[in-house]
Amino acid sequence: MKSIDKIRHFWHYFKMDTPLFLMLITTSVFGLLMLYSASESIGLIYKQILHFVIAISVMLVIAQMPPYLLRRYSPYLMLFGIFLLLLVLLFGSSSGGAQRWLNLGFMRFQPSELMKIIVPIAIASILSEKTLPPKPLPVLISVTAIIAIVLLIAKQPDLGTSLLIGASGVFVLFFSGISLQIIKRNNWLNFAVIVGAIIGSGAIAWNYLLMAYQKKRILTMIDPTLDPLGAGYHILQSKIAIGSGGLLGKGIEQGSQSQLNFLPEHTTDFIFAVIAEELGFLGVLLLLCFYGLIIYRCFLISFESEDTFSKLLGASLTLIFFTYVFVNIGMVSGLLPVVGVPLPLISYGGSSLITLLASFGIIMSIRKHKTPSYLSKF
Amino acid sequence: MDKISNPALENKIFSNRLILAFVFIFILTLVLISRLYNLQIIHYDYYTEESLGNQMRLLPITPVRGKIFDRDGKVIASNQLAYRLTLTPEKTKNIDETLLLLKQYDFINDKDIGVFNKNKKRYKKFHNIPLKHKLSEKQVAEFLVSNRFIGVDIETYFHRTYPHNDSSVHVTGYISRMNKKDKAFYNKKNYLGTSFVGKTGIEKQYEALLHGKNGKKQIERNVTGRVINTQIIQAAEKGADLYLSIDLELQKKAESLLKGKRGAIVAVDTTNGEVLVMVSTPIYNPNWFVNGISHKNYKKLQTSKDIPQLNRTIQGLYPPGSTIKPMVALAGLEQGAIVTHTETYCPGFFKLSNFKRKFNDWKRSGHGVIDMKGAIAQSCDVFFYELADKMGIDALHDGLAYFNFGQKTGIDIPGERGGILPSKAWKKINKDEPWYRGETLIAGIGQGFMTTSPLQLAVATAALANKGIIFQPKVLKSIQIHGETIKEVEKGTQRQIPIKDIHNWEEVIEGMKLTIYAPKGTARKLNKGLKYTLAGKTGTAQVFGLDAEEQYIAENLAENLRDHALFTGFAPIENPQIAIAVIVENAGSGSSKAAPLAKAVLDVYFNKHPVQ
Repeated sequence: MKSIDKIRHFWHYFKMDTPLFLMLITTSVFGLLMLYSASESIGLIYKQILHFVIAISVMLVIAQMPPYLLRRYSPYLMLFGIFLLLLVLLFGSSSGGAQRWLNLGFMRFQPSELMKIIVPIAIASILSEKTLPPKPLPVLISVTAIIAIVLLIAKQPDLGTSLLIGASGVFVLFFSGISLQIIKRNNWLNFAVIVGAIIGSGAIAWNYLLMAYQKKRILTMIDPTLDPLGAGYHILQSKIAIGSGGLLGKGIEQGSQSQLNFLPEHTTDFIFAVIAEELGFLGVLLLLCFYGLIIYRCFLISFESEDTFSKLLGASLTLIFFTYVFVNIGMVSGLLPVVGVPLPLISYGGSSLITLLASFGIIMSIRKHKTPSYLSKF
Repeated sequence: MDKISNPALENKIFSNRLILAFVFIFILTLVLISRLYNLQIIHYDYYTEESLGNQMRLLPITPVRGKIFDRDGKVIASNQLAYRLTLTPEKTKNIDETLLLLKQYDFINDKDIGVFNKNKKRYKKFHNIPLKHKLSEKQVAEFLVSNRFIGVDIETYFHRTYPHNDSSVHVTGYISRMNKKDKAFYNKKNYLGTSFVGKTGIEKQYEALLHGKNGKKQIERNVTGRVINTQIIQAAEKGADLYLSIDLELQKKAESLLKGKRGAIVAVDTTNGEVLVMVSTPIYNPNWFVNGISHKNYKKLQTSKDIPQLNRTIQGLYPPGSTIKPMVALAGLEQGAIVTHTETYCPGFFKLSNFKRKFNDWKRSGHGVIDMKGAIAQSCDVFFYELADKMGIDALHDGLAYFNFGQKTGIDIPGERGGILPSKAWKKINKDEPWYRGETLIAGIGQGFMTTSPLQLAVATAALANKGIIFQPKVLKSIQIHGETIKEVEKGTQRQIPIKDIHNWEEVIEGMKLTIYAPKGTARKLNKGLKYTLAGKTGTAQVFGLDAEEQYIAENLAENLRDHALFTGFAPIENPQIAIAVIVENAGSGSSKAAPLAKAVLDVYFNKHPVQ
């Protein structure tokens, strides 16, 4: 075989959605550029490029796996994830008052990251067993599982992540068309159980799981000027950064808020403020366009997929991606409390990037494995 | 794969939900965009200012204080580059701990901590607050080596020094740390970076000239407060250098003459009112006040019976005693109460008709027949009792008022007092009593209610010398504004004493000349080896009234009840240049205790300015 044929052959079997891939790469390059501007050392950029290489590899590997494999093994994945979370609670290493990591010796590993993917897979798997809309029993099982996992993660404590993971499960329920159907059938008992469970867990969370600093975060969001050097300081400084960016921004590496270190965590959670300060309102709109294109593409893929599991999984992974974007920008611009959610594809950091691109890997796999003929091959 | 039982329904449900999700995303994105629009477009100006405030800060540049020189350009007050320790509370984690550690290392003491804590509130955020001024070089080196105090810095500044220490302290005054009143008084904007201000003397009088104009610099900082860029927006304008009319050489001579005594010597230029000598003793060291005076020294100054901080030349009010006689004589001549050749017989006392009390002459045996000039030269009291009685107190008051007695001279040193020139009206207002005739008599010899400051005597004596010009005395001679040449300042105002007969001046001056040169003149001892001609008048002022029959014996009296010794005079007689007034408190006779001091000062003056 000629080498060109070899490549063609490989390409034929290589599962990758090129438009989505290009969108992701564009956004990531944009992110690296901003990270370069925000960081003091070039070493940080090299590290982040390495993170990208690993994350893209993971994405492409996952893209090669057909979705039904995930579905088949979802119970085991779920049990494995819960097992890891219990391990964290029992043996996890802690940092900054939170116990979120498992120390594997060569690296620290955050099982809650894994749950960001496992939970939607598992819920989608449960709900797609029977035809949509789901029956009360799978819904009840799903809700119980979601609450259990949310509580486990919130106990670490990691409120932001636990709520987002809970949301990813709820999104699957949402796409399955759940609530309306339940009400329509007058199945008030089940509905009451679900609502009661949600309210109850919320109350438990506020009373027992929220630490003082978390409550304070929520309160200072309401008026950050109350405590300019305390908890509200981050929000105040990032609002100053965003607001002083204006329409066109101060220019790359010209943002005084970030360059002079007034802006805290400006390479991680608060990098959006750097973008807003240095590129202005137009730069921010550009970034939102990137995200919008990615979301549109992913929804399209989910819509066009032919099995319920893929539809539910793809759509909820996309919605959770948007939720990350919304929560991060909302938090940095002072709309939401500071919960520690990175800006997808932009913020510095390895593990969240890997999980994120892994979920895009699943979406690519949905795209490429949609036809029954493909499925039959496996 | 499970069989999808109802794909059409599933697709419909899913599509609906997808559309719902799209709407949901769209709305939330709109929320985000409107939020960002609100921050970046609508409130852009506000946040731009906030961001500038974060990084940029305007700080004042303290101007260098002007120097002070004497008339020959000798430095009286100057500035020395020094080091001070400062602390920025916002940069320090634990202020108390840091202060304690600094104390352990002997950089500061408890007093510095106390002052710091008091000052702390007066400073704005992120200011470095002075903690200790004038560090020794050893301390500076130790501090730089230790390098363990976060938020504590060493900065250079100009430290005021008075190189001659206590010399001329009452003229120069001193600067010291600003207190609350100073902060309220001085222009806040111009004193942003200033912590010292003139408290007395020239330093206070000409604070506005000496201080200069402060500048502005903009510093750019990162979040740790480290200055990463400094830009001078407006350079500070150095304060003006002042040249005083004071002659430091004469000043030091006068100080040495008065050493260990309480007293004052003032000399003015008779041609323009410039103050050449202004000494009040005891003197004290102004440098104490710059560094923050120690409690011990302060207490010493405050409680000393000698009241060192009193500037006796302008604040000390003394009965002028016989030194007033030439002026009284002039008033008598002018008002026609006497003529040049009026003679009187002095039996050693004066007695008013229907008045029990005898008014003694200082010379109990009497001066015999004596005319006006003789009465001045020998300081005959009886002649002046009679003259005063003839004139009456109000006429006497009017005549002496021409010489500016009872009023401030208007010298450019703060705190001057005007003394008392009594009259009937004065007594009515101040004592609510009628005037007694006997009080007129003692007013005629400069006793009783009448008080004058040594400066007033010098100015009045100068007016005798220059035949009637009362100068407003002035200490500031010229100033040099930074970058300009030295310019003389405007002289004080002057005023001519109206005179009916111009010869009257000469008659009085002749009497003063005889004081020195006549065989019976009270200061005849001065004429030995005199290289210039001198006219003068001695005075021995009673501190309290003795009974008529009592003999004044100095040894019998407590020191502070003894007579003050006075001398006034001017030289040379033909072409007067300098007038002088000397007072030595509780020293006794003016002719023996005050006159020689005047001569010693004048000798130095005429050594420098020999008479052709």
